[in-house]
Amino acid sequence: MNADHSEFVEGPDGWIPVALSVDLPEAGVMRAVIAGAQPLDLVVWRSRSGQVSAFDNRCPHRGMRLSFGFVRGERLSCIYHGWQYGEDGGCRHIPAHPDMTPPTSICANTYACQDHDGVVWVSKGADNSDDLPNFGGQGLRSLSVERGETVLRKLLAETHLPVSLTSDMQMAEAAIATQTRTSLVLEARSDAKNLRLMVHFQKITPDRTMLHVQTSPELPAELRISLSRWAERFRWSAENLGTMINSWDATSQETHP
Amino acid sequence: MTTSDVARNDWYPVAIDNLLTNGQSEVVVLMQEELTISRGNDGVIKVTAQDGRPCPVAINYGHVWSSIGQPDHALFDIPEAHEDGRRMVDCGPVRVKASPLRVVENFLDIAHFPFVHTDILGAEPHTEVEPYKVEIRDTVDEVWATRVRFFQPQAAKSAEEGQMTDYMYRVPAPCTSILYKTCPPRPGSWDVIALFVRPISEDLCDAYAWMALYDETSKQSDLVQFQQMIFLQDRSILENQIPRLLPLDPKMEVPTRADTTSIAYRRWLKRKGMTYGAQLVAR
Repeated sequence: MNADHSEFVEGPDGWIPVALSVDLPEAGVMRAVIAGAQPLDLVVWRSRSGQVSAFDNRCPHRGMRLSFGFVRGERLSCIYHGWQYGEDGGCRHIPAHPDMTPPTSICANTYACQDHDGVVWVSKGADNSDDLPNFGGQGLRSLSVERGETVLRKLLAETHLPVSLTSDMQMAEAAIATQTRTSLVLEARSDAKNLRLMVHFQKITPDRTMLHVQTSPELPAELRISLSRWAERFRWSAENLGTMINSWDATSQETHP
Repeated sequence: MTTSDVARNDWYPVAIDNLLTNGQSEVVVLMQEELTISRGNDGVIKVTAQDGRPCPVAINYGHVWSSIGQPDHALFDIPEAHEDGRRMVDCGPVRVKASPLRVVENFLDIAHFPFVHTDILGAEPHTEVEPYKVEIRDTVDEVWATRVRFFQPQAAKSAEEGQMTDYMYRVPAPCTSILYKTCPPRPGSWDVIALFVRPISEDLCDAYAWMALYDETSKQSDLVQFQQMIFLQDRSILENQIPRLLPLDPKMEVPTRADTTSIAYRRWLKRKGMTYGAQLVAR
């Protein structure tokens, strides 16, 4: 069993990355799962004005998953009966009784949620903002990987990254520059440019992790595309351990099964 | 009577009568038990459990009904089924990954029409549910909701424009719900639409819609298609309610006045001891 097994009983403390900010646009709604003995099923949404919020993914009325709902202005509307909830989880409107002010007791269960450094973070407990990184990265993509976080951190420490735009794709050794509870920064050892990759880990189960990947800002689009392909290749390798993950080159870019 | 007896000793739909031809048999699951439904060359239908014991059989409303227990009552009556001039339409089973009780409760609900059946059975801004009357009729042991009214853009296949539609709901058995609604081509009469649900397990079921309509013009396939479209919209909700079992603990889900039928239904289930497909204590 994984060394960080306790987190799958208690659930991780502190801020947990659940999405890249770019993947949750204004009026966007998504589902997020957080590890634990009873994993948390959450709805994360962004209001029209940009505020992010996280609730238990069930409408207090009839248990419908709120992640199927829609954002209307500053409220999240359940798809089943159109009940609307504000950022604080309080029910604001019940369409079946349009003239009634919903009692304050009707309330979705909320979690602390914030958009910070290009990532949407959720916390089960007290607000502890000092825990969050400031990497200044630009969102690349999120991937679900069928591997535990510990294994993934080890594999990332040994990886090579694409660093050049020329047709002969150059790979360079990468090293971990920074490592935090939720994240790490990979730096390519290349004199071409200061290429960094930020990886944020969202544990789903002991054997499944969501990776939220950012790159250093202002990289050429072609290089970001290469890094995106590298991320897929990394996933494939991690899920099929035994395959050399550093053997990738420009001549074998076809997608693996 | 223990709780499981209430569920075991009731009638459930196991097949569509006219789809089972002579000499043919099919296997279905009722409450985790496999039943073989067979029609002999003499046309007689038999239902047999896995251990070989014969199960009771009733044939009515286009369906074959059976039980894994011994019902002490006849299958409920739907008087309208015997009225002249009605068209009987069976729409076939739809598999739903939810408690059969959730499926019935959703069928009793009108407040979701504008959001789930948008521009068909409801449309914003006509979302208000006016007060209606709900009672548990002790003499017949059924839940009834009457004087239900709702605005509908297209109430039925035969409807051409929006109208206020009158409804009545009847729950004659825990896994059956019958609705009566305004009949567009024949004001003053009621169309009858029933949902017969067979529990496969506590959180998996097959739902059979059956209709007795005054409609002489629509094609049979269009009537079936309309009803299936509506039910598939419901299924996308039903398979995403948490928990999959119907909570009978009033603290678990918050109702409002529009949910009066659902409140009575849950109370009636609890009183009967019908706990198959239900969650008694919040977890």
